[in-house]
Amino acid sequence: MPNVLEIENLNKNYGDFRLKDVSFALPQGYIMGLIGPNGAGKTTIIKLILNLLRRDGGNITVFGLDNVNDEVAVKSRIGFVHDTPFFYESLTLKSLKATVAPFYKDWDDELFYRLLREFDLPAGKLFRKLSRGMKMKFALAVALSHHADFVILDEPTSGLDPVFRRELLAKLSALIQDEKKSVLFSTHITSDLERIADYITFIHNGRIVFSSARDEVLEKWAVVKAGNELLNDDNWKFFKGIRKREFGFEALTSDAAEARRRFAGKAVIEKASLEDIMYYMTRGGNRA
Amino acid sequence: MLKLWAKDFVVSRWLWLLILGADILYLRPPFSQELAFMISGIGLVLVWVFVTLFLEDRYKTEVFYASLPLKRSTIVLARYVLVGFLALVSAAWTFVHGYLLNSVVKLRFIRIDLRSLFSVEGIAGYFFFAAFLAALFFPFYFKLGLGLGALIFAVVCLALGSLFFVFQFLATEALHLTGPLSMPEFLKDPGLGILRAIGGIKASLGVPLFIGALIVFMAGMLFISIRLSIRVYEKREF
Repeated sequence: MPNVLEIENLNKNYGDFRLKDVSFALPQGYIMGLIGPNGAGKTTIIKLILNLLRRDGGNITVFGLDNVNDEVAVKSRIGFVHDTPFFYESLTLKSLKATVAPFYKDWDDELFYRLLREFDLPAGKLFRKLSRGMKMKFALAVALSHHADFVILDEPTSGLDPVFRRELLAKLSALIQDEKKSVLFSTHITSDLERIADYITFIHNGRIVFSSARDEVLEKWAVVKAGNELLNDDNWKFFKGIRKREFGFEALTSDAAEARRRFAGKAVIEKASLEDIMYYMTRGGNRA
Repeated sequence: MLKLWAKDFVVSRWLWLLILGADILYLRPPFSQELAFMISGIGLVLVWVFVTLFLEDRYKTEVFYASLPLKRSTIVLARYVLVGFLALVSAAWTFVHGYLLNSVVKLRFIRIDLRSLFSVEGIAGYFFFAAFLAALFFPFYFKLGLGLGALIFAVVCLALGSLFFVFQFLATEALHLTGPLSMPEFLKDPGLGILRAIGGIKASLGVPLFIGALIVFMAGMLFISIRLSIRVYEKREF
C-alpha cells in the first residue's frame, strides 16, 4: 500500500520552540492519530502539511507530490478541519458553502446537504449562531463534501459532546472503508484514538517519540506497579517514566516482554493505555 | 481568481446594497467640485476593499482560505485585479449617476459638471490615483496584515501628501512659479488644479506619448508592487 503522507526530517524553528527531525509516514487507507500534550507540535505539523507555515528543513510529500511545489494538486485532494473553525460569522451555512465549493472540482452539493441533515445543521442558520460543537460539525461537513482522499483533522473532538464524538469517530471509520481514503487526526483525547486509529504517532517537545501501528504500541508498552525496593539503578534506567509513591511506584516501559521477564512474580504488569503513555512520557520522565 | 471575487462579493453583498440604495436615494453627497465627486467613487472602492479585508481579518478566515487549493500568488493577484475592476465599475457608475442627476432629475443644487472629468486628464488622473493607492497599500497589507498594514499605509500617505504640499508651497511661494500648480488656484479647487497639472504634462508630451507613458508607468508601478506583495505573502505564516 503506498503512503499517502511521508514526512522526512521535518524541522521548524520558532526560537522558543523547535520541531526537530520529525519523520513518519501514513499508508493509504488508514487512520493515524497524532497525539501529544498541548504545545508538543501537533498543530505545527498539520500547518506545515497545509503549507500555512514554511518549513526550515526536511520534506513533506502527499500523494507522492511535494506539498509546496504541487500545492494546488495536493490541496485539492485534502479535506481539513482546523482546531478553531474560522468562517465568516455573518453568513449562513448555505452562503458559506457558496464561498468554498467553487474551489473544489469534485464538490458534491448533494453530499454536503446530506451531511448537514445528518449533523442537524440548518442550512439557513447564521454561522455565528452555532455552538462550538456545531461549528466543528460544519467544518467537518465542508471537509468531507469534495470526496477528499486525505482528511486532516486538528483536534476535531475538543468541545464536542460524547455523543457526537462517537458519531464522528464512526464517520471517520466508515470513510476509510474503501481503503483509498486516509485520515490524520490530532488529539489529546487519547480514548478516541484507541477506538479508531490504525497508527499512532506520539510527539513531545517537537520530537517524535514513536510512530507505530496502534496494536503494536498497546502490546509493547506496559505499566509496572511494584514496591520501591525494586527501583535500583538498572531498573530506573529501564523505565521511560516513573511515578514514585511512599509504598511503591508505577512506571512505564516500552518493552513489556522484558518487564514480564524482569519482574515476574514481583510486580503487577498491565497494558499501558495511550493516556498512560502520554502521562508518563510528559510528566513522569524518570524523575517523578 | 473569479472564485475569490465571488467569495468577496458574497461576503460583503450587504455593503453593495447599502451603497446602491444610498445612490438611488441621492444620499451620496452631491459634491459641487467634480473631482471630489469622482474621488468619492474611489472612496467607495477603498471602503469596499477595506470592509472585505476587515471581515477577513475579524473572522480570521485567511487561515481557512489559505488552506484551500489556491496559490498564494493567485490570492494576491485577485486583490489587485479586484481593485482594478471596482475602479472601472465605480468610474462608469459615477458617470451614469452624474448623467442621471443632470439630465433626468435636473435639480440645480445637485448639478454636477462632468465635462472635464470625462477627458483624457480626468480618466488618466482617476485610474492613476486608484492604481497608486493599490500599489502602495497591498505590499504593506500582505506583509503586516490589515491593522498594522493600514496604519503604515496611512502614515506613508500622510507623508507623501505633506511632501506634495511642501513642494507646492516651494514651487509657488519660494520660487514664484505660477501656472497649473499655483497654490491659490490649486486650493480654490484642488480637483481642477490636479486636472490642469495633468493637462500640462499631456500638452508637453502630446496625447499618444502621454497615454503611452502613463500606461508604462502604471504597469511598472503595479508590477513592482505585485511582485513585492507575492514575495511577502508567500513568506507569510498563519
